[in-house]
Amino acid sequence: MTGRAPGPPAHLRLADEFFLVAHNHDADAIVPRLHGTGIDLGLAGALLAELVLDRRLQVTEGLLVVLDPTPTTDPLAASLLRDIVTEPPHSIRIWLDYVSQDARDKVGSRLHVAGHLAQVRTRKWWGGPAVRYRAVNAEMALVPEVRLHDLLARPHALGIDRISQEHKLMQDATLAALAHATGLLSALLWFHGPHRARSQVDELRRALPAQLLDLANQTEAAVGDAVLGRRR
Amino acid sequence: MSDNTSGLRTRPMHAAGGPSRVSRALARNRLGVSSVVFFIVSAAAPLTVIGSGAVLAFATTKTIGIPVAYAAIAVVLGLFSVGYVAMSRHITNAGAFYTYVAQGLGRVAGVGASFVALVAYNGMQVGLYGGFGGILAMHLNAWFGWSVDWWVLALGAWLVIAVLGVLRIDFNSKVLAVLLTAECLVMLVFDAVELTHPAGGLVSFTALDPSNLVATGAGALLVTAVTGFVGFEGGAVYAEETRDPKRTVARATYIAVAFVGILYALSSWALTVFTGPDQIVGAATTQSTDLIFTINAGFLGAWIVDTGRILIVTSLFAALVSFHNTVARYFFALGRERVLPGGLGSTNRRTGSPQAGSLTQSAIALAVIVLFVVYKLDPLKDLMFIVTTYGGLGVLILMAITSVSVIGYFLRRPAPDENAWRRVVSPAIAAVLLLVVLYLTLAKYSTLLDLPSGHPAVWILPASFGVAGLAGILWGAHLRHHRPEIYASIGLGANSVIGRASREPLAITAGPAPADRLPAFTGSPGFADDEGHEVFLAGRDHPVDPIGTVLSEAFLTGDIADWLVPDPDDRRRIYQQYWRMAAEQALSGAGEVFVSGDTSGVAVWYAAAAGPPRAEPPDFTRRLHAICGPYTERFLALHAAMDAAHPVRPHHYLAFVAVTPEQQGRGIGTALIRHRLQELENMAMPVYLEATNRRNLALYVHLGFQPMGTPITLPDDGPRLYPMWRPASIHRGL
Repeated sequence: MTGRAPGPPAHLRLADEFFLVAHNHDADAIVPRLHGTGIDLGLAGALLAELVLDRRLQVTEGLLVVLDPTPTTDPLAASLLRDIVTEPPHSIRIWLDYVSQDARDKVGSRLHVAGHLAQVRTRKWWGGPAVRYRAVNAEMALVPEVRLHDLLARPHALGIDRISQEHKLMQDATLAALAHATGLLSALLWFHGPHRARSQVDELRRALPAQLLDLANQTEAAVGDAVLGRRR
Repeated sequence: MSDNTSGLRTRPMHAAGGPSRVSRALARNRLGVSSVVFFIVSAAAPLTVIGSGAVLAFATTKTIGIPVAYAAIAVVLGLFSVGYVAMSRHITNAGAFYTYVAQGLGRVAGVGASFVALVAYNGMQVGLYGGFGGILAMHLNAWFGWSVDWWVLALGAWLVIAVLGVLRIDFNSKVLAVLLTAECLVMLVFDAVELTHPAGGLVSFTALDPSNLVATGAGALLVTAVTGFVGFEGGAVYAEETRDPKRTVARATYIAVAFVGILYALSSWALTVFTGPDQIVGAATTQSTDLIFTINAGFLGAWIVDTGRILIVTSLFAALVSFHNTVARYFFALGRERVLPGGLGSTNRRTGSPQAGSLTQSAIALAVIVLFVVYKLDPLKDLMFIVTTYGGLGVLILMAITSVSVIGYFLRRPAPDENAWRRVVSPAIAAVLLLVVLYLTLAKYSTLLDLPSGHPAVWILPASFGVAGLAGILWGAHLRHHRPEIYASIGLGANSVIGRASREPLAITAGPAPADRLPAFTGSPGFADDEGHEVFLAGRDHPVDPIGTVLSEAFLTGDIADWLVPDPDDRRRIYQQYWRMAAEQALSGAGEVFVSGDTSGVAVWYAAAAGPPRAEPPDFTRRLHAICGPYTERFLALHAAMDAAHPVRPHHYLAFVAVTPEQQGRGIGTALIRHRLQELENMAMPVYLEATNRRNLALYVHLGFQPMGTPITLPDDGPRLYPMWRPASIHRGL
C-alpha cells in the first residue's frame, strides 16, 4: 500500500470524514479523540446519512425506508443498502446499534483501501500484535477538519440557506451535526470560542434537511442511552 | 395495479424465512436472566447490609424484628416489582423512578419525583462513606494497631471514586462476581456457625415472629430493611438490552428480590439465634459493626474472618461506586432533558462518562463528609445508619408514588398484553402496603434516629423530601408554562433530543425461524396472521358484490382515480360497476382471491406462469364502453400502458391489494399477501405488480420487491405507476 503516490484528493464520503475528524493525526498512529461508543455510533450515523445523501434511503417517523435499491458505487454503502433492503423494517435506533458494531473496522479499511490510511503494526502493551492506522498524508487527513472549521467560522448569512441545493455543503453540515451529536465538537473548537461555534452549529442544524437532522438527533439519543445503559 | 393505501404497513416480515440478520447480530450481545440477576444483586452488598445495616438497626432501634422486616419487605417489593416491571416494558428511560411518575401522574409530578430521587440517592451514597471510613478504620486498628481517623479514609475513597467516575472505570464484572460470590459464601458460613451454636442450646424463632412488625419501633425496622434492598429497581435499565424484554427483567427482578430477601432474613435471624434474642441488642450496641466478626472468630479460622472483614470493605466500596454512578446518570438524564441545566447532560469526550453529573455528585458528597467532620458526628451511627436510612426513606416514598403511577399509566393507555393483575391489582396492593410502611416509619422516626420525639431532626429530615418534591413540582409547573419544549420531554432521558421513545421493541428470535410457526395453509378454511388477521382463499361460489365493494371503495381516491374519472359522482357510479366486473373475472376461476376475515380487505392474484394473465373478461372492451361511457378512453389507455409494460417471463401477478379506507394502516394488506408471497418464494416463482405511488413502492421494497424498468407514465400528464419485480429468490441480490 505504501508505494501508492498520494494522487489527486479523492472524494471522501461522509463516514470517511467522520473517521478522520474523530482521530488525531499528529502521532505515529492515529489516536481517537472521542470515546469508542461515540466513534462507533457517529460512524453508524454517518454511514446511514451517506445513503440518505445518495437518495437511496428516506427517514420517516423513526424508520428507514428504501427509496431506491440501486446499488451505490461505493461497496460499503452498497452492502449496507443491501442489508436494509433485505431486512424487515427496523427503527433507526436498531440500525444504528447494528451498524455501529463493526463500523470502525469497515470505515477504517475503506480508507485503507482508498489509500488514505496505512497500517502500522504495533504491539499491545501486554504483548501480542495490534494493527493500527496512520494517515498516509497528514495534511490530506486534516482536510475535513479544516473545512469544518471554515464552515463554523463562516459568517451566518453566507450560504447556509443553500444547504439543500449544494450536496457538498449538505455533507459538511451533516458532519457538523454528527460531531455535535456525539460530543466530538468540543475537540474541534479550539480554534474559535465555543460560544460562537455553538451558535453556528445551531444555525447549521436548523438549515439541515429534516431527514439528516433526524438521523443526527437519533445518533445523539443513542450516545446518551449508551451513557445511561451501563454496559458499553 | 396494486393499491396505493392498502394498509400495507412496515412491520417485521421475515422475507428470508429466518430470523433477520440484524436481530441475530444484536441478539449476540443481549443479556439473559442470570446476568441481570447478577447486576441487580451486585448493587446490594449483602455483607454490608447484615454486618452494618442490620447490626446498627438492632443497636439503634433496640428491637429484634429486623429479620422478619427483611422478609416482609421482600414480599412488598415483589408485589411492587410486578407493576413496575410491566410498565418498564412500555416506556423509555426505564431505570429512573421519576420517568414512571412523569408518564403515570403527569410531568409536573415527575419533576417533583426526580428531585426527591436526587436527594434520596445522594443520601444512600454519602452515608456509605461513613460506613467505609468507620469500618476500615476499625479494621486497620485491629490488624496493625494503626489509628487512622475515619474521615481520612473516607476522603481517600471519595477521591478515588471521583476519579473513577470521570474516567468511567466500572468494576470489571468478573471481579464483582468473584467478590459477590465470596461475600455470599462467607455470609452463609457465618450463618451456619451461628445457627449451630444457639444461645442456651435452643434455636429461637422469636426474631422471625411477625408480631415484631406491629411492635413499637417497627417502622424504623421496615425502612432499614427497605434501605438494604435499594438497587433492586436497577434491573429495569436493562429492559432494552435483554434477549426477551417481556420476561427476562421480570424474572430477574423476582429472583433477585427473593434471593436477597431470604439471605438477609436468614443471616440477621442467625445473629439473634447465636446471642439469644434477649442479648442481641446489647451485643450490637457494644460491638457495633464488628459483631459478626467477633462472634465467628471463636469458631472459624482467623483467615476466614479476616476475609470477611476485607470483603465488607470491598463491598462497601463497590456499593459507593454503584450509587455514585446512579446519581451521576440521574443528573445526566435530567441535564439532557434540560430540566436541570443542560451542562449536566455533557459527557467526557474521551471516556464517555456523564462527567458533569459525576463531578456534581462528588461535590455534594464532599460537602456532607466535611459537615460530619466539622460537627464531629459518628461515622457509623450518624453517617452510615441515619443518612442511608434517610435515603431509604426517600426511595420508599418514590416507590409508593411509582406504584400509583403504574396504575395511572395503564388506566390511560390500553395495554392488551398486560393483564389486570399486573396493571392494577398488584400495584394497588403494593401502593397500600408501601404507604403503610411509610406511615409506620414516619410515626416512629424518632426511634430510628435514637432521639427524643421532640427533637427537630425528627421532622426536619422527612420534611426535606417534601420540600424537594414541592420544589420539583413548582419547577415543573414553571416549565409547563414558560418552557413548553422542555416540559414535553420530561421523563425521556437521553431521548429527549428526538422528543419520543426511540425504539419499538425488536423481536429478537434466537430460536426457530418465524416461518416455521406460520400455520399450514390448506386453501380453506384459512389461516390467521400472527397479528390475528384471518385470511381466506375465496372459492368460486363466493359472492361477487362484497369484493367489488372493497375494491371500489379502496381505489376511489388517489391520483389514478382522479385521472380516470375526474368527476367524483360519475366516478362513484362507474367504479361500482367497473370493480364488480374485475371481481367477477377474478372469481370466475381465472384468478385467486384472498379475503380477510371480516371482508375488509381483498388481494387478487393472477398466475402468469404460461402466458399473460387473464385479468380481463373476454368481452372486456364492449363492457367497458357500457360501464364507462365518455371515460372509456382513459380506462383503455391505462390497461394498454399496463399491458405494454407487463413482463413476459413466467411469474405471478399481484393485480390488486385493497383494504377499505377505515381499516387501512392495521397491517391487513400485509397479512393478505405475505403468506402467498412465502408460498411463491418456496416455489421459486417471481412476482410482479404495479405500485401506484412512491410511498407504496418503499413498502413493497420491504416485502422483497424491486423497482424494474422505467415507471409507466399515463398519457395526458397522467400519474405514474411503478412496475416492481420480486425475484424467485430474494437472496439473489439486487
